[in-house]
Amino acid sequence: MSRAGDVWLLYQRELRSALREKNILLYSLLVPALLYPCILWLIFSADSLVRGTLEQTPSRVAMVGLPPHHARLETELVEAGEFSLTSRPQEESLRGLQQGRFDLVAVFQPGPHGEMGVRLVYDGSRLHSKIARDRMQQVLERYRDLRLEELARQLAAADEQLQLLWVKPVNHASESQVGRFLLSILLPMAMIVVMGMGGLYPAVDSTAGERERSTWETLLTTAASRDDVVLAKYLYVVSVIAFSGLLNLAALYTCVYAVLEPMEGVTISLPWSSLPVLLGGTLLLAMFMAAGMMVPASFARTFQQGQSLSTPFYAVTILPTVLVADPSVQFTTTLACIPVLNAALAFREAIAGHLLWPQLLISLSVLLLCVVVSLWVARRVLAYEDVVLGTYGGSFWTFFRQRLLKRS
Amino acid sequence: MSHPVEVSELAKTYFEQGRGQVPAVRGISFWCQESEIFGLLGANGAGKTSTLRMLSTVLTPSSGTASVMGHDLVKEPAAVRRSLGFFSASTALYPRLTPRETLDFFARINGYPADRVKARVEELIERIGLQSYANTRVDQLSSGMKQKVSIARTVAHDPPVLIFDEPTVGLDVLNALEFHDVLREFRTQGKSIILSTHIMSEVEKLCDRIAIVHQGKILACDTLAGLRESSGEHYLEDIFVRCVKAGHP
Repeated sequence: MSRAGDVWLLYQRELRSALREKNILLYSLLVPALLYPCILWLIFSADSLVRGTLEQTPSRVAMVGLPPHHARLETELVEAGEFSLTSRPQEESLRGLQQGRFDLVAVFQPGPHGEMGVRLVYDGSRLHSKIARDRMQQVLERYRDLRLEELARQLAAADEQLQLLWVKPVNHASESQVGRFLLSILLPMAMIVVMGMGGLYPAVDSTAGERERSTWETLLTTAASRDDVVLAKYLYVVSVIAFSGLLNLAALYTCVYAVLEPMEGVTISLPWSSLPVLLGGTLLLAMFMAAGMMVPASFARTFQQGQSLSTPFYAVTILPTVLVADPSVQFTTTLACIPVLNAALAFREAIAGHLLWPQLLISLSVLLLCVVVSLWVARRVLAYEDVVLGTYGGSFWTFFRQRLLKRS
Repeated sequence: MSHPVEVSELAKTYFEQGRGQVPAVRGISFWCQESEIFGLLGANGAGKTSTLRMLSTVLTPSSGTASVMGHDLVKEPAAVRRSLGFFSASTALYPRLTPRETLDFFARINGYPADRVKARVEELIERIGLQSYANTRVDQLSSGMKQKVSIARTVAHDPPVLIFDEPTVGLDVLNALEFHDVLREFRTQGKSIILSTHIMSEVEKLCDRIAIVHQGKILACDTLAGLRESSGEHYLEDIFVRCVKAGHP
């Protein structure tokens, strides 16, 4: 059989075994497809539920000293339908606010010439109280504008004179740009975290797990070469990681689309130009992560040891990606030199519709270099019989210090 | 005339932290012909497993040469592995595959002609009596059944040379006896079989020639009758003890 045929056969064997392992199915398929989309859906649903409930709940307002000639204000507040009004003395009202019986205390302070000031006393630690403040402020501003308008008309001012200054906010970003911005914040970090999570179990299972089950030597006594055995395992882990990432991307996109698309002012769509960056970046990241997790795990004799040896790599590479969620972090040429973070930033910018070529080229080179170095280390490691057979006593770091650094 | 297995002055030295160079095999030589069961008899740590691991190319010899079906261990390791079936306690089965998938995989990966793999797999399943469990995952089989699948896995590609390292350890008497019958059947088929064990009765019953291995060296190598004659002892146990104490027969 040809080398490619051997590798394909070994790869199929790895994949078949993997698809029958519940932990691999959980971390590499179910979590990418369901975890983040479910979390996102729950957050949006809970937010909508809270908002809906709050909108239907009237704000309990204690009115203190409303002057009789402003009685129309009370009528307007009642007509707004968002308030439950009570007139109480100031001290009792403030005590009520403290005890949570009122959401807001409106203290009216009439002036000598018919003018009036209003002090809105609220509890900044309660959401209901802040909502009551906003609602009351809106009604009061509208009431003031109408009074001013009436006064101006009494003084025979023209309509144009009443509009000396008008403000009209205009959103320069299109609806799809808003949608892309939201996607660029939500997608990259979740995708990379899930890729690492999806790859960890297969990487450890195919190395330390194989040794723990005593199937490693069975494989070494087949006619396939050692290089082909390792290559097939590597390709298997790479494909699982890449698949987890892309599955998560598709699931998250679908979820975000379903939740945000119905909202006004947002159109959810991925630019076509982002696809090569997403696909290429996913593949390179998968290659780097697979090598980075498999090499330390190959020193372990048990699955548990393998997990503890590979997890630090996962944690160290994933942690910087939290920066991606901060829109003020720019994709600079310096950040393009940090592996994994550069991929996350490249994903973010590509989703937002920006292709920053210098940064993309630096990221590509850095990730390729990382892959080459990881594979070189893996090859050096596999040149040692005791490591291959699991009789080496130390960890990867001991090996790195004692053999790689000494010899290279 | 060359034999299917020829071993000449094979040696293996390990490096151990704190102990330095530790010789495990110190220049072993033997051969095994067709339709022969060649026994390597020795105590634990005698060097049997290291020798067999070198023969299966899992370990690289420190010195010496060996060939399997004319293929040199170091120069043509893939051809060597294609020519032999290796069975030991450390060669387990894939727990998530079924016996049918296991046999199919090992037949193909070891170069059995693709168009005949299916027939070969069915033949082996029938031979070991696993028809009703052929599609059950290996981790759900009993130890006896696993043992049968392991043996079938070893011969899936119909190799001319078979290596069995302590094959009956952990088996009950009935399964061990069944395994002895299987070995005899393989011998009848013309296979060259190397059997490593520390169970004297097994060697007495099965092996055509016996090598007594101690501290990485072969102390004696002959038929049972030849060993009896040269040592003056009747029982293999006594022959073994005499060899080990004297350092030679």
